Amino acid sequence: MERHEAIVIGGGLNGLTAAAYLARAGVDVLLVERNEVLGSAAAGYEIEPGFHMSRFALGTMTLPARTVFDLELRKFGLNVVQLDGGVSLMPDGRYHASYRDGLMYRRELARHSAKDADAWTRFRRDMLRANLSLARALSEPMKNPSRRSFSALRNLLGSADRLAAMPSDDMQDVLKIWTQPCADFLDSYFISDVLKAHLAAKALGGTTLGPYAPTSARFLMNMFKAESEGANGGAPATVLAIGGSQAVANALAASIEANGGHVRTEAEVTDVILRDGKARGVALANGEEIHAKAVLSDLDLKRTFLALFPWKDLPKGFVERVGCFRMRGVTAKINIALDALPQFSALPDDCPALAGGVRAVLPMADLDQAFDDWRNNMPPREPLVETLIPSMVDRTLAPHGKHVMSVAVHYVPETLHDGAWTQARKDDLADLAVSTLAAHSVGLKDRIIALEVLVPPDIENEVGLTAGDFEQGEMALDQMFFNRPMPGLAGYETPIDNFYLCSGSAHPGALETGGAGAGAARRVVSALGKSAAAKRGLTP
Amino acid sequence: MNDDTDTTISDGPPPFDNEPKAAPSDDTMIAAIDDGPTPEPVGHVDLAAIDAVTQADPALFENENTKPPFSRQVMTTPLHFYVASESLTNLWCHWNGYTVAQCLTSIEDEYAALRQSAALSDISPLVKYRISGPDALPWLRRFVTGNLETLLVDAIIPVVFCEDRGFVVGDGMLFRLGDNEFRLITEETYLAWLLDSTIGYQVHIEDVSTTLAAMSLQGPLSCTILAEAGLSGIENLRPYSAHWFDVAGMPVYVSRSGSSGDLGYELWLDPDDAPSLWLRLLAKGKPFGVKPGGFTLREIARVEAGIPRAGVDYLGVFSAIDPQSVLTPYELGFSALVDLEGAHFTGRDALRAAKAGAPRHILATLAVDWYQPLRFTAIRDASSIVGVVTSSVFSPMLGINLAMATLNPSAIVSGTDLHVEAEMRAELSLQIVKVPARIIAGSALLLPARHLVPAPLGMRP
Amino acid sequence: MTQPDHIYDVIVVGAGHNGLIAAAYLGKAGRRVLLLEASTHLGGALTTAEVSPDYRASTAAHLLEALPRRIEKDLKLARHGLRYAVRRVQTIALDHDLNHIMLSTRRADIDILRRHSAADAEAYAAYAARMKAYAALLGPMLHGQLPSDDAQSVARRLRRLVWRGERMGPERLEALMRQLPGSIGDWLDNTFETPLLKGALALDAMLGNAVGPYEAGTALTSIGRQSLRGLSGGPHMVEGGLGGFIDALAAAAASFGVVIKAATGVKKILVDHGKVYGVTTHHDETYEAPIILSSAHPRETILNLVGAKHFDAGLVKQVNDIVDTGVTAKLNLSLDGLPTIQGLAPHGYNARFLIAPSLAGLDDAFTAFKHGNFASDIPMEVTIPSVADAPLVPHGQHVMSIVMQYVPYSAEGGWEQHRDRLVDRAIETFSQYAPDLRTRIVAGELMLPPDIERKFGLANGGWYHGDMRMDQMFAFRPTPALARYATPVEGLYLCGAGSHPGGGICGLPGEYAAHAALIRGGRGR
Repeated sequence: MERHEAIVIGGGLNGLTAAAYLARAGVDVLLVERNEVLGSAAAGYEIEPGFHMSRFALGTMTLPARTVFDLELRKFGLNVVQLDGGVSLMPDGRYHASYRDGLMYRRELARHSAKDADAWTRFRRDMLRANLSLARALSEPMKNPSRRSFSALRNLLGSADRLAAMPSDDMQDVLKIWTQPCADFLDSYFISDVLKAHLAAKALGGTTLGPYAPTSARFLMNMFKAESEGANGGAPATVLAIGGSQAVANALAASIEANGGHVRTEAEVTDVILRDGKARGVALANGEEIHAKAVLSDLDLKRTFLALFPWKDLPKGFVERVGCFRMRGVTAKINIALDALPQFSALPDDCPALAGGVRAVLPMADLDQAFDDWRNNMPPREPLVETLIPSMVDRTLAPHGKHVMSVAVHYVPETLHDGAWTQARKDDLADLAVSTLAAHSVGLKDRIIALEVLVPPDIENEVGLTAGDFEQGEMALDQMFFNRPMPGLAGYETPIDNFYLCSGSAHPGALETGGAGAGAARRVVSALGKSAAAKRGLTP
Repeated sequence: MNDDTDTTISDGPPPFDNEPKAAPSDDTMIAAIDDGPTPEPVGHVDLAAIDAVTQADPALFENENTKPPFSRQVMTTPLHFYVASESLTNLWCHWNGYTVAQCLTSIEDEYAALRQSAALSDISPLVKYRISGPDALPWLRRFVTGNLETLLVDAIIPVVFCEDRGFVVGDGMLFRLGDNEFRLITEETYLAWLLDSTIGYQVHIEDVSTTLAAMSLQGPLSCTILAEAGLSGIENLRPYSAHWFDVAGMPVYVSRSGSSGDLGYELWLDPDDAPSLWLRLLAKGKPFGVKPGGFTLREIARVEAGIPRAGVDYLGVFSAIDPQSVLTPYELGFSALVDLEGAHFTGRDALRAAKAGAPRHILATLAVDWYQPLRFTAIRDASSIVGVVTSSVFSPMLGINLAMATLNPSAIVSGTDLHVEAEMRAELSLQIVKVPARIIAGSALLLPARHLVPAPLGMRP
Repeated sequence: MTQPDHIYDVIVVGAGHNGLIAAAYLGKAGRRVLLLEASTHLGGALTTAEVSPDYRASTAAHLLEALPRRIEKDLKLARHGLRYAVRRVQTIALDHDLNHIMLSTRRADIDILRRHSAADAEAYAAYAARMKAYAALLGPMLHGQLPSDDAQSVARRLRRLVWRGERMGPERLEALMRQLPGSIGDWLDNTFETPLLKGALALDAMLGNAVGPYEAGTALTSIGRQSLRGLSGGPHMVEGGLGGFIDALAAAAASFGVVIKAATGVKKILVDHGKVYGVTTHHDETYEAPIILSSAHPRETILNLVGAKHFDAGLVKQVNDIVDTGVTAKLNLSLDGLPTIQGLAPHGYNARFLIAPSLAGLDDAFTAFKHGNFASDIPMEVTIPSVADAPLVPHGQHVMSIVMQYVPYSAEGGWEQHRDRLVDRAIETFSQYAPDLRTRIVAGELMLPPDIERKFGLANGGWYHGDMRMDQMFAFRPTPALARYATPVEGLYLCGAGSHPGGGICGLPGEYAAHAALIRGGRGR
């Protein structure tokens, strides 16, 4: 019988990251993936012969630079480029372009408002400060405050003291960014509606909150990652992996195998083998059983516990608590092959920011309307559309002169209030999104060679993300930090011994791609009693 | 959107009308200013555009006519062409987004002119704000830390301004142009903070940087040269005061100010007039040995004079990411610019506490006795690193290195054995040397002529 | 020269309930207090007036639900005429199918709930107990005195919170950790199944706040409201309407020697060398005192009464940025008889009725509100004060007092064209439960958020002098530098709802500000 030290179920970026860190720490790890290709939501495909693109995700590179460095992904073929931060187009034809260079960006901001050009300095400072304190919080393992242990209590009392030592202005700054509505927060810095619409769209696209909802301001700081930090105070950059997100998955797999781990695709796990209430391995769909001392799941919380286990083996009340975990799809994906590069009439010729993606953004009230449509299970009447044409930079993706365009439509509900997602309604959605873009780009429709629409239920079926939720559980305050996936389960452990959650449903979730994988790997290495030397191979 | 044509050809009407526009309807903002004594061409361009859009919110304007930020253009000052024609070196650098001359001839020659005769530099990239309105003075009282009682019309004072917690936002020179009209000259832009702090006041603030050219004539013969150029009575202009002069039909606002530590003047005028004044000063000054100077010369002179530069020697509180990197005026050596006893100003309560407490950093000028220019790495005392160098120059006049540095307070305890680590590089060999350093109280170089009234006149070389 | 009778120990600006309470406490402590009010009547938005000739009702707010018993006793309000028409008013969620739910843990009421859902009947007591435990845990933080502004005191307070939280046990603590940052809607969805129960509990928690039931922070709001009710004993109906409460407060204040001058608006608070020394009124009279408490909105106090020049620029911007959102409208109806609420026992008419059939309905109403509309079914809180307080109206007649939730400040195209439709919708909404209401109406008055702004000077028609949001609470209300009532101007204190713990007719800002002024302001005569 096949036997490993650890098994990772699912080859999404978190699962791959977990396996790669485990392999580096000397753990004999096997990663099993149901599909033919690795990457899960990051997987790529050929939409038409010769047109390669990320099928589900937009296709930007989100893995932190630290992970790329730790796992030597550059050595395993990953090539990352930094681009300007893209262009936002308002329905009335005005636009805002994000330049990485601070001097250029200042001139762009001054085009909207001289005051905003200056206010940007302070906004950026506040975002970077907030991100620094968040990064500090993420670098420590999350403790369960409810577990009655001396260390947990000491931890809590320590944070109480740290909080108390903060000047109250600083504390209010923290509270503001974590609790205010995005729109109010932006209003306290800026006056240009174009700039505010751009920032709100960039921050809120893919989240389950609208611009007027409390606690939506915090998504603004997620844009200011170290990887996307512009030069001399410019706008955050778009980061792209050459070869698309599939290339990231491939590099991770190469890293796993180079460190003695194993990766197996087309192997679907049907059950986790339990003995004496402890996980002992997995059973595959083909009847094969593989044993291991530790099993990690890269599936979301609901899929993990509602599909891999008989409910009777779970503690009383646990299934209900899993059921309360909110997972809601918000994004539809449209993949398009184009026979030429679209031109955007509002933009000046050769705008370098174009490569970083084009957004059709909405004034704040309309953005909120799109959000409310989503809450009411309606397709958005005016959609927030985000696109990326990676073939502008990565020429290997499409035949010469032709392009692939990755389109994300935000605030698209998983279920409709008046029936199911039929092909006709999917086509309507695609038509709406393409028309929205075509309003800025005459002739776009005529350039389309091929088009595929994936609404949240499609994403659920194809990738296995419950409700089509890319974040594997809403990133709401009550489902973050020690509450992720639920209070009492913050440390990647589960009620089943030897069974760990390493997916985005675990802390830090969507705050950091691969973060949950790295954290779970650290937890498993210490559980397996690996030597201190091996542990040092992991990021602190 | 389409107007990319060369605007220097002036057959038709210019794309922007530089004539002052009629006062906008909101007379509270502009009233009482128009009867000022001067035809100063201030930038009503933006204001008019704004008022049409947003009822006098000076900050909100959409100017779709400008070239896109990425277009291949050199951002130049109104004097650029004339400065460029003096450049023998083709050395350029960046100042506030503008391309300016780093050095035009040789730094030795320029420096010699500055200290023996006079040097003329283009200082148009400085940021210039016009502050006006019925509440301009009360607003400024609350905005800057200093006492403004002595700021009469045509007077100038150095100012520093803080946020609520007493940390420095920036510093600059404040000119009083009229009863209710002021000009603030700064190194960096502060428009957001300026406008945010106008709540509760009837005050109008606009950035007039692009509509006002400026040049600086510094050196022992600067007064002589200006007199020669036709500014009669210039010698009677007192330090830190200013006056309007008519120079060959051009209205020029001349202030006796500058950052060289010596006698010097700064001249403020319409960008259209700037080139002819520049040429005139060079021509009239030629017999006296005047030289055009570049940015490096300005840097050397200001470090010699002990003047810190915002964004280089200290970070304004709104740009410093690390909360530990922000400084109070006391830590920056601006104590003299703080008046805790007068009217309330932003940060006063915090500064009272800061004055009583111990400083966390001190910005000081260090003299590093070495006869060649050095590149500094760290400042150490006997045991540890005690500070960082933020600017360093070799002073040709003193023959030593000067550095502006932020030091731990422990470093300035008398008797501390300070030294600076410097790298000496010769082709492929690199040597780290330790050079003793001493803290200079005040400025390294201040020349008495800067105080004299009347200013020394007619000293022919 | 100021006349001697124009010199006081303390001047309190504004005779809203917080101003009255602050003045009364200061008077009680022996200070010579002058209380100045711009309007001819005291109490601000708490007032009883005629809806139509001979029909009287509370003009805006209509229940006293958060006034701590302590204040009532300290100020001897009962002796000064505070009478309750109904103590601990029952709350009834009206049901289309006539199984009205009484929000209480009494067995008879739980039995009615069982008709909707047996599971909910089981869960309700546990929910109520849990709510009570959370209120006990967080109450001191939500509306107790703030710790003093040094790291040690704050740390001590936070450490105590951690200890007490741990003592609740892991199960309750875990539930709290999950619920506290979340929404009341999710919490109720995870607890109950009856739409009416969930809708009513959510409306009860959010009434007056411009937030939706599924928005983060509403769980905290609801715990806060619960704990305030704990201090007051529940919502009470005051004899003579809330004007009766104000009369009692004014009598109490007068008994402590407070000089109350109505129709005397303060134009400026006078400051010299960073210290207050008096006020000038709109009649250009000057009154002097070394201590001044302002119960006006912090923005009004800082920017207009004192002037921006006495404060730091950042503070002024923060005060200027305080968000006020009007979300409620008030409809008072004069009736020629008691409308028949179907399925309601005769003794039930002196209750407060909540109309919120479901969370989804509330959420729809909130969505409409956000976009400048109002829902066709308007969530509302209704009382018929004349049932227990007959002197309000002519014999046999009644008044109905309706607080409508989710009515926006501005309606598309202006309120004039929507006013009648709103009244019609409100009457129609209640008529679903009392079909004869329409026939009984003889007159009525509607107070929209802009009316409330105009009449009571409440910005945007928001009732709280700054929305009760997480970043505008605790030591951040109204701003960190102003949170402990004292201001950077010596002798100037804020004592209105804009200060901790905020709005909701609890009187605590007035009480705490008076204490702060007594401690920092030294002794009086």
